[in-house]
Amino acid sequence: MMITRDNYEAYFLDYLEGRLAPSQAAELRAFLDENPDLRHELEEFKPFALEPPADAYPLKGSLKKDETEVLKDPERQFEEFSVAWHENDLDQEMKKRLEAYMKVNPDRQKDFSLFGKVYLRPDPAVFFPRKSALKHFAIPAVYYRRMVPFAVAAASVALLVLSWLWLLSEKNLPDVQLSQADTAVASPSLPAKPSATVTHGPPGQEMNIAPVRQEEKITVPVKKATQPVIQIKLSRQPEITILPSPAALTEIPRMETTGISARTVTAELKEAGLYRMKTEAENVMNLQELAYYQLKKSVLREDPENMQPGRPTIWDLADAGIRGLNRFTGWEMKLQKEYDEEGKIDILAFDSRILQLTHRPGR
Amino acid sequence: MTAADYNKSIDLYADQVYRFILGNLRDEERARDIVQDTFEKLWVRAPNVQYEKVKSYIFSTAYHTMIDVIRKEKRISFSEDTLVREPMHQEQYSDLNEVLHEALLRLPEVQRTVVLLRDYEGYSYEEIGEITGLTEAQVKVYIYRGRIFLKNYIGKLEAVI
Repeated sequence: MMITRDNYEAYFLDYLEGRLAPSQAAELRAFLDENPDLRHELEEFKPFALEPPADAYPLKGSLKKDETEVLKDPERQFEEFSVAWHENDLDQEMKKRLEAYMKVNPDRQKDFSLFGKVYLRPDPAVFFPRKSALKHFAIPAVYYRRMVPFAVAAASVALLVLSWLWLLSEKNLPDVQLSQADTAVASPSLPAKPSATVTHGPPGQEMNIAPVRQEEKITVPVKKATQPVIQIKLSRQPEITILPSPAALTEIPRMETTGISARTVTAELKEAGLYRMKTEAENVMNLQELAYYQLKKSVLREDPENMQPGRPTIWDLADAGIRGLNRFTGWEMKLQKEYDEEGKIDILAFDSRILQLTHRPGR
Repeated sequence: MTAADYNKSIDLYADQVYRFILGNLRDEERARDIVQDTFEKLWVRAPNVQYEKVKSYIFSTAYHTMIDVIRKEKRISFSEDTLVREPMHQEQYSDLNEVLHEALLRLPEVQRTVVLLRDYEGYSYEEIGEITGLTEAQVKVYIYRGRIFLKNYIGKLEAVI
């Protein structure tokens, strides 16, 4: 940087304090030759150096401590020194001074020893009783929460693929299908011809019920009951109570013994006036029904009033998985089902941004 | 800190921190709850806590949880009823230790805490300062005042001792 009349003061100050490099000092001298009027100003820039006063503090001697003095304020300092002794906070010199003080004042020895007794000891018999309940044997919740979306996504994709493969490789079973157990209960209940007896309980056990005419009796295995009432539990329908109406029983047509449709049974029985739907209070769900109800209501967002009782199908689970995947990823995949009149899946469609699939299981 | 480290810290320090809180509150149920809260907080923060510093973390968390409980329940001052309560596990204490624990209840809360950390755990002034949030000088002053109070207390009960 060039020395000019605008910045020469900074150079003057550095020059006087000896901070200019030789080349800068030469430059400054050349500048002064060109500007002789500023030489006087440079002389005035000379810093002032303050000299310390020669006077000594007159009371110095009175402030000095007597090195032979042990404790200046024994009452206060003794306690402080005693605590510090037992806390091991005193250096060797201080310890010697305290010991010297106690030699002169043996009556303080007792107080000093008391300071050595004020240390508490924990009771080893006291222990925390819930140690086992505190322990964790898994990864921290922070990591767990991070893993959940990935786990859900992986499970959903796997479920969807399996469902699709199953659909393509197997004959699609009716969506409304009675379980084997239910079939076993329902199938003998509607004979082609009226039977003379009614089975009660396990097959083979038979008993007469109700004042039914001999030719109008049917064979229906039912749960043990003291009342002359037959209850048939179907998988997709609420429990049905068959009233012991002799006239009505004669009108029941013969049903197939396997693959019987709950809806068909319901329609037939309803037509015959042989059943009544259970009231709300009577219709208590079992665990499976409750799980299915909650799946439909909370996950698949179906209207509870239009919901048919039953059990979750693999498509319900796949639908739930896709919805969960959408929730975590923000995707918009859809699995749509359309049913035929018999309750079977007629059309199955999968829709996403990059893939659309449609399948008619019956064809 | 891994789950194994966390479980190990329970085995190592749960009893100690329980005694520390119990010494402060003299309330078993609350002491248990505070210790439980402390370890739940530790579990949540486990990935960010170094195992080498876990003891200090546990005591610090327990101390501050206890302070929160005390402030919430306004149990800062002790009633006469508290003072005459029998120490727990009396049969385990020597006479002097009993008296000292009784005297401890009469100390201000902060003095009681620093004395307990010093005596039970042998923490340095600096470590106690880290746990309680006090300066080293404050810790030293509180310990000194606590010692002097305890000494005067047992001095008055010299006949008992």
